[in-house]
Amino acid sequence: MATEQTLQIKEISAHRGPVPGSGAVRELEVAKLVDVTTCIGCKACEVACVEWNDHPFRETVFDNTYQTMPTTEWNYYNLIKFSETQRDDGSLMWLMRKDQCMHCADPGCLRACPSDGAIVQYTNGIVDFNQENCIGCQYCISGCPFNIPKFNQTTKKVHKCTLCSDRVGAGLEPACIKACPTGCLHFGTKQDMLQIANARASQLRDDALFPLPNAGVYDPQSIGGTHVIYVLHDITKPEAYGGLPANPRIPPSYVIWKYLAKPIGLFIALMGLLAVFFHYIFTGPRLSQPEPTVEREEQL
Amino acid sequence: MYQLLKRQYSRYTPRMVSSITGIPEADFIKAAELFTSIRNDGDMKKAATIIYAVGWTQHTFGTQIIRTAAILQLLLGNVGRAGGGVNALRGHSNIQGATDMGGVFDILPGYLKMPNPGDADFATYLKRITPTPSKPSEWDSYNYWSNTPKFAVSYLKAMFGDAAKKENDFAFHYLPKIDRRYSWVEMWDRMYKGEIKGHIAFGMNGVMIGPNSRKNIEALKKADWLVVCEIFPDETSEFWRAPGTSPEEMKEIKTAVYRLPGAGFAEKDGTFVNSARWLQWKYAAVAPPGQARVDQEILARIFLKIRELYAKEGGKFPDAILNASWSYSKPENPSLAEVAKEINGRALSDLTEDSQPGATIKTGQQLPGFAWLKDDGSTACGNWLYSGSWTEAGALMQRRGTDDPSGLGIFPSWGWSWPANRRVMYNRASCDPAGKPWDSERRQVWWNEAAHRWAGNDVPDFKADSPPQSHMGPFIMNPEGIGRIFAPLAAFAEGPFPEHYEPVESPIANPLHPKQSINPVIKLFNTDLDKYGTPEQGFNVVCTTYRLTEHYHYWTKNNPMNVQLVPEPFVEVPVELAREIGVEGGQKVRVSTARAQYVAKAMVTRRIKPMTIDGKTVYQIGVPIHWGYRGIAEDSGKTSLNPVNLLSPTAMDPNAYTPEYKGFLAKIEKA
Repeated sequence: MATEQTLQIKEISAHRGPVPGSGAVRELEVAKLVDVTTCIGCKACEVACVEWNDHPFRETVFDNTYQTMPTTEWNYYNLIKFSETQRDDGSLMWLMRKDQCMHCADPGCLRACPSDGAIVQYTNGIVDFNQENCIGCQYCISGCPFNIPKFNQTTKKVHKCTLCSDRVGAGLEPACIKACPTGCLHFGTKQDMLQIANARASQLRDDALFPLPNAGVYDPQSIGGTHVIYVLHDITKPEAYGGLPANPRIPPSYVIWKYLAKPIGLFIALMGLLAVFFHYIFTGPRLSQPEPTVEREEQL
Repeated sequence: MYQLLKRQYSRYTPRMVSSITGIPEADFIKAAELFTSIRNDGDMKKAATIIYAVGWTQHTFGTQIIRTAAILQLLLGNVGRAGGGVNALRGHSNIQGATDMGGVFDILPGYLKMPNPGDADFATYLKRITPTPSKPSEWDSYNYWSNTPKFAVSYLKAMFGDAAKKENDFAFHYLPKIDRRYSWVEMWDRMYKGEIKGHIAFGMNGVMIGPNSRKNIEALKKADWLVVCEIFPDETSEFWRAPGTSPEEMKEIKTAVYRLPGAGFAEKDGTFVNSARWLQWKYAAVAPPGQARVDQEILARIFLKIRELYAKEGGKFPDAILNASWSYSKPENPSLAEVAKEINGRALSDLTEDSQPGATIKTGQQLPGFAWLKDDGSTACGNWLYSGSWTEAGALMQRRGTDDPSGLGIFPSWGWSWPANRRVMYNRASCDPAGKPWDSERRQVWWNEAAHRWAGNDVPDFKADSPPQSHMGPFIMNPEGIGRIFAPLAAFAEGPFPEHYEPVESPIANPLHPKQSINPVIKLFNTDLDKYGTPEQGFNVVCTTYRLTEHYHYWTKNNPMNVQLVPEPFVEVPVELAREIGVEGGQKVRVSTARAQYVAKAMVTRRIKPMTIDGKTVYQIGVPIHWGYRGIAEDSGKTSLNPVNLLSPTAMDPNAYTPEYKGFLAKIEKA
């Protein structure tokens, strides 16, 4: 779990004048930026993730692709998805997108989870699973629009990328960011990452020689934005990047759960309580009737 | 010269280039116009670089390609410029250092030429290797190689100490004199012929590297002994297990194999020298495990044992070994800091230097740079180019200063760059003839009239006080002082201008001159294992080999992390070709060349496209090189067990002796 470092000085002994930095607004939301256009698919981030999280070596099989395995796994949080895509002009794009938890502002997993404290969202935007509270129901898996959380059959717990909340809490960047040799991965405040991403996208759009008119930033508003954002060559076709949804949505059942079923349920429960209350007021307590004089212990 | 150049390349029309390479004419013109556009309207401010991976060199015409790049950059004025040049992305972290230190058979440290049997004495040798200035009219010439005797004498003093005296030609005769080429391919050829009896493989997996691995495996069977220093058991140290060797045959193999446990890169300190010539010191992270030893300890113990044997038993020529300078505080395990200081060089008596008025250096002090080297035996220096890297001011190669005052990316206090901490060589060419930078916003060096000296953000690569009016040429290492668009006689095996040749095995005859399709000066080998295939024999698919980013040569297959990323070998096959031979991704294919067969799963891809070459549709396939018969996947029976280089031909560039891994002929079928 992360620990927030919020040591901001408020007062200083025998100090004249204002406290340096006072009144500064601390940008709390963090984000990871993946510039897909400068990723070379080296998978250093995959190795860094496995090593930092102390995950074991797992056997893989050749599957007609450079991609390590078909999807992320409960002990493989970070996967480069490779896809060969034909552009409209017939030329080929070999796309490589780093796939991992998107840390949604409106997290479907958290919305779906029925267990108190199994999933938390920090104020900095990181969505984290606490396996000790996980009951293994896997609702989070069906709640995720990106197919990220994965179930461990042995322990019956669900796992996913933590955005290295342990590292971020200690003021470090996530392990994948540290390992990236091309600098296609960035980490910082959401605001800064958006700024860098937008600047990069406009650079790609405006390139004099090889303009990419559809370059853009992936930060889907359908789920309130994400804390992992992408710069894509073609924002109109996110599906081409190993199935990135254009308009990710939390399954309606969970929306209904939160906005309809849950309030209604709560309303019914409240009504029940009120009924009990008014029954008490108007009818009064049920008075005890004479009972057989048998000891309680003997009954049990 | 320009007229000759024009005539030479007038034959290379866009249509011809397209016919040879398969690149569509329009794409070629677009690329050519883009690259040359930096000089549009006479603009001299921009610079453009050419960065290549060493695949360019892995052809029988590799030097021709690099030369062409160099000529293009000279013509465009992209040499000596920040952001210009021809830059190799080398395949290993310290290839530059290995070359600088003479890790090639025909050079000594600092690119001094190797003596040959014709060098009767030191004077004859020096006369042969020291160029005399050849001035074009009106041009002055620095001809810096005129200092060769100083570099050579200082090198011999470092090698042989007090035994190197003026009276004995500074022990010149202790150096070996090479009578033939000892290049990689030729070495294995001679071992296969039974002429070379032993092989020391120090971090070199010769069986896997190839080319024509079968020949290397058979060569090792004929050797008397083999010493392998490695961090994992490898294919070379277990060549007797190569697929196709029967148990009976294994018993017949007499080669004695010694395996020495070496240390990995994180277990050793020392320097890496990168392609930009920066010496960067690194520290050992952990100690070598178990009985493993660092390289210098293994080499030192072998050396000391040999010296002991020579001292005890004599021998044909003990002097060179007995008199070799070995004055390290721990002779059996010299510290690399001591070695680095020895390479930098020191004064053997008190020194003064005309070009450094007022300065003196005391006996025993580290030299500040190669300007102080003498040819009278008063200085010792292991490699003149590295002089200045570890001075009285300390280990400059260990510096980690991150300031970049000029903003040009020079970082003058990060590590140390040869020569003289100069970051861009020939930087005089970044100025116009009057000594004014071509780009006033990115000033590398300039002529300071008031001080009557060259000044700069970088260290000027020029005679410091030679004014622009004397027209000294910027290419100070060439005796003529100018860039070599036209290479003088014998500089290259082929000729003064580069020419395109087809690979030894090619699907077409060279459209430029079909009767001389391949490089005319290459040596083809003629043992029973040196076979070359032709399209007529059915070998009509172009095969190339390469590395993957996920693996590093032949040892990451012992690391579970890398194995997990790419678990087994494969062959990349274009979609169209896969359809023709009826193969789907994941099914096995058999690749055959005139030399061997290789079976692995197919990766069917659209990334490798069919090419139209000389009017014919030509397919290309690609085979990553990483798997053999030792490693995690290999040991669990998951791979084909065959080294990929069983496929490649025994053919090499005649100048650099690099084998032709990047283009040969194959057949492919469903296995």
